[in-house]
Amino acid sequence: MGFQVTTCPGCACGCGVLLEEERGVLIAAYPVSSHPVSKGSLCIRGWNSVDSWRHPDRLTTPLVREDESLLAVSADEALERIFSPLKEAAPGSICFAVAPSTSNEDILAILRLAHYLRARVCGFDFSGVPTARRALTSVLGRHYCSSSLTVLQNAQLIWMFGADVDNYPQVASALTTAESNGAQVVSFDTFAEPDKKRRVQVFVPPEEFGLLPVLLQKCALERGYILPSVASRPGFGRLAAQYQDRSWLPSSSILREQRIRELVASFSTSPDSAVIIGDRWLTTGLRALEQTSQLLQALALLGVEDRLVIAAGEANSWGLADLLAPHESDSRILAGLLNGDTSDIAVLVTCGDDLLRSAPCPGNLEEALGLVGTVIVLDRFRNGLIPFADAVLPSVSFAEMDATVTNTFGMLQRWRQAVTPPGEARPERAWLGLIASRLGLKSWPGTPLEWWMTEEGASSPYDGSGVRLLYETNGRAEWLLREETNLTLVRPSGSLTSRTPEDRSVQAIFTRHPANWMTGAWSDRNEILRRESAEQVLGVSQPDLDEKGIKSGGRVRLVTQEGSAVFVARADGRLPQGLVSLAEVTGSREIPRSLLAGSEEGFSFQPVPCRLEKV
Amino acid sequence: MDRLILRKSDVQAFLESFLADYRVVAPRHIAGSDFVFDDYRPGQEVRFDFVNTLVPPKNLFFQARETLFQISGTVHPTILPKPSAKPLAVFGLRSCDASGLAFLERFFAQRGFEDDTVTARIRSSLRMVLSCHTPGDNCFCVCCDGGPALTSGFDLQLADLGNRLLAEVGSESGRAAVRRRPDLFSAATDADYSEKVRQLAAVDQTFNRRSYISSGMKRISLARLTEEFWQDCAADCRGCGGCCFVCPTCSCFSVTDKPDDEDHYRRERWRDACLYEGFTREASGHNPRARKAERLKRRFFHKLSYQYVELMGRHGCVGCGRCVTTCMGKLGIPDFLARVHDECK
Repeated sequence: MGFQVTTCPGCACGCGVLLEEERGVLIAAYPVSSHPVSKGSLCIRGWNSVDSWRHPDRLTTPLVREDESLLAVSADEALERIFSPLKEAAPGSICFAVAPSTSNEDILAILRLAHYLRARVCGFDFSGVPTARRALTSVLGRHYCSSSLTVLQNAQLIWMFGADVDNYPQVASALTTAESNGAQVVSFDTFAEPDKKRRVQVFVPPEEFGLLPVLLQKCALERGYILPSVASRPGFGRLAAQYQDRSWLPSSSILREQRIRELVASFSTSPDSAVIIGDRWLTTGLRALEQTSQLLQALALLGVEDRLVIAAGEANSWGLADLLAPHESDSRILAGLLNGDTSDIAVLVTCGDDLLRSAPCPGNLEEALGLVGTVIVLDRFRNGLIPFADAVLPSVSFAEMDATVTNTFGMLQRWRQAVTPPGEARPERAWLGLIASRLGLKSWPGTPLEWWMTEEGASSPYDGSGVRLLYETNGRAEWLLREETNLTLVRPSGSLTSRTPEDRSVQAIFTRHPANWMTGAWSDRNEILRRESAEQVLGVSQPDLDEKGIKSGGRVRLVTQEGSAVFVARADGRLPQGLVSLAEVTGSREIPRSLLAGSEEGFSFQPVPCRLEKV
Repeated sequence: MDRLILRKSDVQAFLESFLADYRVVAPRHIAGSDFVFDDYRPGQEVRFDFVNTLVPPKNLFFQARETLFQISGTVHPTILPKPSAKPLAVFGLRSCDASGLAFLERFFAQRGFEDDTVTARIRSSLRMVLSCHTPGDNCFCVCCDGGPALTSGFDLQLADLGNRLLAEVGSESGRAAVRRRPDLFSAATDADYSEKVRQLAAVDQTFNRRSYISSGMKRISLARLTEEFWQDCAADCRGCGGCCFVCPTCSCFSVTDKPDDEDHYRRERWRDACLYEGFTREASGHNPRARKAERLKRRFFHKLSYQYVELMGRHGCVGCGRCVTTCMGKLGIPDFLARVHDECK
C-alpha cells in the first residue's frame, strides 16, 4: 500500500487528491484536508478519478495504419512512420492541437518541437478560459482573478453571470457556505435553477449577453456609484463622456433598465460583494470576448475586480492559455479546421484529449480530418480521432507522471507520479523527445524542472524560483501570480443585440452535457454519454413541449435556415420558454456551421433561431 | 481490566515485535495536517500529534477496491484459493473509528450472509486505540457514543500521559500483544488512571460541535420531515458521495465479474455510494431512487432511524466529523441535524 498527494485533473479548480496504490494498481482517490483549494472535499469526478486510469479503452501500445486498419507496433516502428511526414512537411504546415488537460511541461515540450519544425501550435479549449484570459488582459491588465475562494465565502451579495457552478464544485461549495451565512445571490443567466429558490434569478436571453454589461455600466455611471478610486483611473473620464450621449445604447424589452438600476444600487451599497463569471457566459453570445470585456469593465467600475471568480476550464486550461498566449494567432488554424478548412495543414498532431468530443461541430471536423495528409494522435484512450489517425502514441494519465498544472486562481500545482505507466505509454514530452532526437534536435531536457530552465520555460509568465521551490522542496502549492490591476476602458465595438427573424419559435444554444457531472464511476459516465449521444437529445422547456403537443422522450425536428435535424426531446426544467439546448456531446452533423460564431475572438456559440416541429 | 504503562520511546520496539506475524499499520504524515494509516516501516517515527485521518482506517478492512475471488476455467470452473495475508495490527486508531469497525463487523455478518472478507479481517486484527485529548474542529463523538475513549471494542486502549502511555487491555488478543514484549510494560498506578480520567473530563469541554441527534432521530424515524425539506437539502448536495467514502460505518459497494484472460476471471468489489444515481438503478433502467432528494432521505434514514438502531445495535454515526470536513453542501451529520432542528422549531 502506498499514498501519493497530487492534484485532481477534473477541472480548473485544482483540488488536492490523495491516491492510494497497491502493488502498482491505483485503488482509490481521497481528498486532502490541508489543501488550500479543496480543504478536504472532492467532487464526484475527483472521488472517481482513478476510474479513468483503469478504463478498458486505455492505449498501451503504439498503433500505425496499415491497409485501413491500425496495427500495434513497437515504439521504433511508430516513430519511423511519423518521421517522414514531419521531416517533409513544408514550414507552417504542421499543426499541434493541444488539449487543456496537457501539463505545463508537456506544453513546453510541444512548443520546443514546434519551434524546431516551424510548426503552429493551437490549444483546443472550448471552456471559455482563452476568452476570459484575453478579456482580463485587455481590460484589467492581468491574467487572473481572485487568488482564492475566500472572497466568495465571505461575501454578503454575490452576482453570478452564466455560471453553472455545479460543474465547478469548489465554487459551488463556497457559494453554499456564503448562502448559509446569509449571502444573497443574484444569477444572470439563460438557464433557471428551479431548486435554488433563495436566489434571485434574472433571465437574460443569450442574444442579450452583450447588452447586460453595458447597461450595468450605464446605471453605475448615471447613479454615481463609482468609487473615487475608480473614477481617478486612466480612461475613466473618456468612458464617462461616452455615456453622455446614450442614443447608441439599444433598448431592451426584457432587460429593463429600472431593474438593472435597482440591482446596481443594492450591489454598490453592499459592503462585501463578489462575482462569479461562468463558462456559459464566456462561451455563449454574439461576441464572447467583447461581452466579457464589457462585463469586467462594469465590475471594475463597481470596484469588485479583486473579488471575481471565474468558474470555467479544465485541468490545465489556464496553463495552456498562459503558455500559448504568444501563439494566439495560430488559433485561427483550429477555427478553420472546425469549419472544414484544411488547406493549411499537412500534418496534424493532437495532444492530450479527444478533439472530436470537445469540438462544438464534430461533423465539420470529421470532414476536415478526412482531408488532412497525416494525423498523429497522442492520447491515453482510444478516442474518436482514432479512425482518422495514421499513427497513435499512448500517453499517460495524471497519476503516472511528474508535472505541473495551473488552476483558475493562477496557482501552479504538482502532478506526482503514483504508479508506473502501462505498456509503452509514456508522457507526451517523452514521445516528442524521441521524435525530436530522430529529427536531429539535440537539446531535450529530461526532468520536469529542467523544462522551466529552457528558453520556452524561462519566457513563460511563471516565476522560475517558485517552480523550483515546488519541485525541489516537494513543497506545498505556491501562489505564483500576484497581479495588480491596470484598468483600460473600452467602448463596445458593434451592435449589442442580434436581429431575430419574425418566424422564430425557439433559439438553440450549446451547453455542457450533464452526464459529465451527474454520474458516478467513469464507466457509468461513458455509458450515459454514449446513450445520450446515440439518442441525439435536445433539451426543451416544458411550456414549449406543451405548446407543440410533444411528450418528453418524443421525437422533434429542429429546423434552421440552413438545415434540420431530428432529436429526442427531453423536458429540461432549467430552460425558459423559447430556448432549446444541445449538449455539446450530441453529434450535430446536420446543424449548420453558423452555430460556431466569432472564431476570430475565441469560441462563442451564437444562439441560432430555429423552429421546432413534432415528428 | 489490566492497566499498564508503556513509554512512548518504546512504542517503536513494541510495534516492531509484530512485524513477523502482522501487517502493522500506523498513522503517517503526508502533507500539512494530513495523516494516513499506512504500512509501518521499521524505524519509522510513531506520531501521536495527529487529530485523525481524513481517509478512514475502515479502508484497511473494507478496501476501496479488491478482488473477492478468482475463477480458473470456463467448462469446469474452479475458485482459486485466496492468497494468504497477515492479520492487521493497527496502531493509533481513534475511538470513533474503532466504534465504526464494530458497526461494520456487525453489518457484514448480519442476517446469515456473512462476508468473510471484511469480518475475518476485523476479527483477526489487533486494534490499538489511541484515546483523544484534543478533538478536531469537526469532531462530535461525545454526542454519538463514539469517544473520546472507549469502554469496550478494543484490544489495547492507549491514553497519552505526556512521555508515557496508559495501556488498557481490552481482550485476550490485547493481553497476548503485551506478552510479546512484557519488558516494555510496567504496572500503572491509580494516579496514572486518575490522570487519564481527568484528561477525558477536560477533553469533553473542548468540543466545538454538538449535534441535535436524539431529536433528529425521532423526526427522521417518524417521517416528520416534508418533501420540501428534502428538496432543499438535495439542492445543496453535490452528489459527490464523499460522505459515504469517509464514514467509518458506511458500507455501500458494488461487484463486477471481469475476465483476466480467456480462462481466468475475477470478482471485484469496489466502494460505491448510495448517493450515486447508478447505485440503485436496476437492470431494466428503472431507478427507485432516481432523484437526489430520495437518495439523501434514504441515506439519513439508514444513518439515524430507530429502525436501523434496532437492526444494528446503534445508530450509524460515531461522531468522527469527517462528513463535516468533506461535504461541500453543508450536509455533514451535525449540520444536517441542525437543519432538521431548525425545520421543526
